[in-house]
Amino acid sequence: MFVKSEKWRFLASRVWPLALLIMAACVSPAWAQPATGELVVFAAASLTEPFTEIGKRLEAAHSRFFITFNFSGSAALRTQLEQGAQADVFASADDVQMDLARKSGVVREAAPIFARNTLVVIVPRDNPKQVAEFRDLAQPGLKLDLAGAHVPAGRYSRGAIEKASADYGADFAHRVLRNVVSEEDNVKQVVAKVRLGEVDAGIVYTSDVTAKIMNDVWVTPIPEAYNQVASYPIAITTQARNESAASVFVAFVLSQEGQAILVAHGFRSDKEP
Amino acid sequence: MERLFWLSLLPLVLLVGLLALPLLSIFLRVLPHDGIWETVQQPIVTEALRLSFLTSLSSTLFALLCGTPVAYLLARSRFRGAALLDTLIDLPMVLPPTVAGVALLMTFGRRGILGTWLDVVGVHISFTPVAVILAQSFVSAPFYIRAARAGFQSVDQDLERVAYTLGHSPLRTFFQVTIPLAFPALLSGAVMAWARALGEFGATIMFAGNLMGRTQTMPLAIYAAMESDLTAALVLSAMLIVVSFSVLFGVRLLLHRSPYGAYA
Repeated sequence: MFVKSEKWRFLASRVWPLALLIMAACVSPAWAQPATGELVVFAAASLTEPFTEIGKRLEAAHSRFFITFNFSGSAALRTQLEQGAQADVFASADDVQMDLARKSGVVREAAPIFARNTLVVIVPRDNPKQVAEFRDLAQPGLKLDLAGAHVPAGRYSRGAIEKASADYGADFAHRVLRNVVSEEDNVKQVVAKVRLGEVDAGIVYTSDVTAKIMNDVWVTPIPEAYNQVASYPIAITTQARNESAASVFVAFVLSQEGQAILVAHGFRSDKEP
Repeated sequence: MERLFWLSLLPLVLLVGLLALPLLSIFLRVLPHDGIWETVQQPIVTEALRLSFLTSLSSTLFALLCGTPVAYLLARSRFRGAALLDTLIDLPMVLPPTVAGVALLMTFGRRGILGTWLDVVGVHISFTPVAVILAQSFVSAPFYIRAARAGFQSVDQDLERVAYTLGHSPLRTFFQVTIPLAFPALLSGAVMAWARALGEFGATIMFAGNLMGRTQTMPLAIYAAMESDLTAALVLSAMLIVVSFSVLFGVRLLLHRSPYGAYA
């Protein structure tokens, strides 16, 4: 389906930055370059834990270097950037939001994928509706919380539900979506509602099930056949004020050390052995 | 006098600019847009309109029914704890609506203080239009109660006493003397409460969630549409501005023409 120019853009956006990074890495680790001042990073809500840790690591490694994060739904962040919000780096939870950002000229062409994620079902610890597997989400009267269809997590969730309809019956998607009681602006709000026990189930990223919430929720896997793989692209903005620090940040996220932090927080890395 | 006028001109221009320009800019963006009518007919707009209309009227009705006796009590009787009650009623006006949202969740949520018991008898409030009405009532009722209390306080009690001497019962006096005299204050208080309920966002999205046709009122729809359909967000905003302005302006004119002109 690729038109030639799109293919080139794809190659340019994915391969070039990686090649550059590898070349840079041969000389010295790019993230070891000096970074100072303030760096503003807009990142998908699901990246809250790993990016906070990456931020601490980088701040410790460089003197007088401060990172400010804005974690929210990827769509909200993209909108903020388009409305003129000042940021140096944008990390989205899907290509859709990154492409929209690129189309409106707020981020640069290069947007390498730095992590992947999958979906799980979480239920409150007391599991009031006895959800044991994915198909149980269709039972009548269950209260299901999803991220809104306009944010990546919501789009992936609906994708998984649609795909499962092939096996669970054509009306599976209809029955599940009828159970939706709220559409959240970002995936972390789904986590919060399930933790509070306000809903019977929610669909979130595997990485959202952190040690902190393990005591409050049960996790039910979504079968591999229906599960969606979320891809996270990262890009430097066109209005970046601290360009050197921005490239240090992106390089660190893509480095072995950065990837290890992401994996430790439940993400998948393409560079895993 | 003239000098005073010139001195106040700059602040006036600044203030009008700050208030009017952002509102005007919405219309400047919306009006040249194609397909406004199509946008108005989208479910995200029509459902939000319907829901906002129903819930804001319900919460205003609730404020009228429960707020009127409370306001009268506060205006007329001195009792222990009146100052405390007064402060309690004023509190939602200064609290951020997000605090109201958390508080309502902790009370009526499934594991809340009352919610646990309601759950047992099969009553679920969170994520329903009832939750929207509760959130709106929490933040808007104080606007009515405050205005109504001031209105009752301004009623000349001698007129009530005359009614008593003419053989009116206290209840009849209240409805035939006190209420008509306090009417302008009650009306403008009710309109303020309604307008505040119409604009409620923070408590609603936290306590009632966000689902089209069920809990997604106009402010929530604007927030959701900002990220997917800017035209819908602009159209809904423009509608809210027009409706709120007309109602506030209409009430002002009404009160001005009536014998209660002094209150307007």
